[in-house]
Amino acid sequence: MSETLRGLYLLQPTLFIAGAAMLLLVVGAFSNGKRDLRLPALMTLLVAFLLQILSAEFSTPVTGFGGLIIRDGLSDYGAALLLVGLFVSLLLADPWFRREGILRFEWYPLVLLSGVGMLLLVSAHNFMTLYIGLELQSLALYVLATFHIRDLSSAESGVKYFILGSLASGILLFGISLVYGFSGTLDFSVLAHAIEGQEQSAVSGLIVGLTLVVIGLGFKLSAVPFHMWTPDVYEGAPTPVTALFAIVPKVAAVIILARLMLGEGAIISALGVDRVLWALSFLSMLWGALAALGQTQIKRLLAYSAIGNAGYALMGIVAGTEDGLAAMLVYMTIYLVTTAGVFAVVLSLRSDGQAIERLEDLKGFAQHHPLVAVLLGIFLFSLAGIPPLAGFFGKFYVFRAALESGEVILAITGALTSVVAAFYYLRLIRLMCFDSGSVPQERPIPAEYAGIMAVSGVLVLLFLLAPSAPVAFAQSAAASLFP
Amino acid sequence: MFENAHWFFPSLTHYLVVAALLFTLGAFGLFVGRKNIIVLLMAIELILLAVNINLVAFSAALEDAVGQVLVMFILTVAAAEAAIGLAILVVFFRLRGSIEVQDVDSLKG
Amino acid sequence: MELFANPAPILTALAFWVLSGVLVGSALAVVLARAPVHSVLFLILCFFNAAGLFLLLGAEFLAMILVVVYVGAVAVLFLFVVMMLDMELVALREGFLRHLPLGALLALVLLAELILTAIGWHAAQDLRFVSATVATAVPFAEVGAEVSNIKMLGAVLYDDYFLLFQASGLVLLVAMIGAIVLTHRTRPGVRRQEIAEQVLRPAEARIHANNPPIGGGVDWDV
Repeated sequence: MSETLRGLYLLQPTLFIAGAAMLLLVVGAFSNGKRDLRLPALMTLLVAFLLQILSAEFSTPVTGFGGLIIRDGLSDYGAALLLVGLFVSLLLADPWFRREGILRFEWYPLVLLSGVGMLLLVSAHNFMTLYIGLELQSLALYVLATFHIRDLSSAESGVKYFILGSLASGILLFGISLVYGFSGTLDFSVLAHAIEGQEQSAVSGLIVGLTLVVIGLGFKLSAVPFHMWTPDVYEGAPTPVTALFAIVPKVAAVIILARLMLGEGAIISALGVDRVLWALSFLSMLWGALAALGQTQIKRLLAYSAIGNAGYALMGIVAGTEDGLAAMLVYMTIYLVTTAGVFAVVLSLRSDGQAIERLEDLKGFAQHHPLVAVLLGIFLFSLAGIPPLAGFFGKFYVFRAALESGEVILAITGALTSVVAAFYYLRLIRLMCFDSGSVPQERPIPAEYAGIMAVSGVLVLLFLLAPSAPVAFAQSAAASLFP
Repeated sequence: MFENAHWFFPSLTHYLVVAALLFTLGAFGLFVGRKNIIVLLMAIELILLAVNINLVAFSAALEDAVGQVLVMFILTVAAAEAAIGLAILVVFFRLRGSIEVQDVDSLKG
Repeated sequence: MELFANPAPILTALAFWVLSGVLVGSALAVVLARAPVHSVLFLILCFFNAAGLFLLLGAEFLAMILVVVYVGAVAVLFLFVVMMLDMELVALREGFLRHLPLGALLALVLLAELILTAIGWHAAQDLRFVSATVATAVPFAEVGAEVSNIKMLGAVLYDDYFLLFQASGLVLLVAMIGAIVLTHRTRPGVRRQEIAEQVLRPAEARIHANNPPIGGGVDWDV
């Protein structure tokens, strides 16, 4: 009984959100959708964040529910990041949905429940928890991609996301079944102990299984060559949903990969499957940068940016060290802030009552809306990794960790692809500033977008003044895997 | 013919091979044989069925209950997935009027 | 496998071959059938045969659940949708024939790899004993060797995996919300009862005396 209580204590933010989601659903249903659930949903996330911070134990990892979940520095960092990301995504969504006229009250419970899935995922200590958390997250996201049920693009993105996502889940699951069969357990610690010192030839079945697991997770992360769904789904889904996709699920996926790969509980690296991650990182950075060059649609461009970013995050994991993990966490944090800013700008772009979709419609944008254009420029440069913006530091830490581990090829590839991306964004900024002919935006920018743009802009600009605090935070989180 | 016919009496390997065949057929059906989206959904169900057979076979061979517990969860999730997949399909059909895979083409690439 | 004392090994073996053969054949038919309805029916056949295999492996509860949930719910849902959407019979497209060689080759490679893995199970047998002694594995013997499948599952599921049990409930909730959000259409003009309104209506408002003039007719819209 005390075991259960302890488990409940460990998972209190998650449980709180789940309960709140169900309550919101009931309220929404009984009020026929007339009650505005935005404030309760945002409050839920705030309270969950508080619960998360107050119960954080950064010192020793604790498992709960008989080893199903674990609460350590990494899961706490991940949970905090996820909650911030969800909060921002909810803020971003509301004005856009209202303008398009498609807000339905189920949006809030669905986002919250997908958040529950992600929180389970970062705390997973057993392949079963991994699977259930991943599926909970994914199923909610499939529905959200199709949320605009009158729009063919949204429906199509839903179809593609669902088919490819379910295939990825199937592959992941087959891998899990092989891991189970060849080791007799699904628990991460038990598995790590069992394979310690085993030779690769003796555990070939495990290797096949773990490779399939990595492939399945790679799909969810949009890593190349499992990224096929990303551009279409990002383009077709309603823009706030795209923002949600870009900001939040990736955090959960990289953290679970990190947990499987690194530190004392390392499973993947012990068997050489980390070479697969190396390949994923390499290809993602390359393809993310190269394919972005030919894009004309804003959301597709952001999709390729997300693919490239997955590559950089994976580089931090492939480095295999505590510094690499800390670097990856810092990178993901900066990425989250920057992407939120980018989407705040994208969501506020409208002319003639329609959202702006194509890049060339941004011609001369800077002349009409200089402040927004400057912010967008800051965000894009940060994504490309240009100093002295925050993005530069994020990439720098990851590159340094990779070099320190001897992953020279990856680091050089990362640097080169950053240059390519920077070149492309420069071209885009030139288009905004010096070409002419855009139709000015009509309405004042909603307060949420202005607020998020401003906050993100400030954070990205001023990161260099105080980098040590977030970095130290990430380092203590990373240290929990390397006692 | 049946003396020393170890191949005839099913062992764990037999079940794993059957599951492997199902998995391959499902994946194959998904990538090559696609005509309409419903068949893709069914191919995914085949993949999940293959995983279930794998898990039950391993569970029996290892004499361990955990595999069968996972099968229960997979059954639950598979049913939920089928429901959502079909709902998405219906949304698509209402807008496009068809569920042929070749008609899923409004998004570039 | 010497799982349970098997009184009729040849019969069991024959059952295995028949069930597996039909299973694989039906799976092939699901993918290749011309009409979607045929595909669904072959899928149902697959599920039944898989349930049979589960019975051979001693998982009778799972076998029955497979029939009830997969066939009874999932396949029926597929059938509903297939019937509801107006689908035409499509002959095999040329694209299919063009992709067939490469697809078949890749499938064969994948299959060979998986089969090799399956056969390799014998080599890696020692591994499972390492972890089988740890608390997280729940050997059949611990639960009770002669216990029925359902009892064994119940003992493990509700004790050790309670969290995931609740989480899968949330998964089903998401599916329900999703299905309603995506497909529910409120048709205008459908009359429905508002029970709460009816019950809370005050006495004076329930009955209204019209007193129409003789030959004058009644006004319905009161």
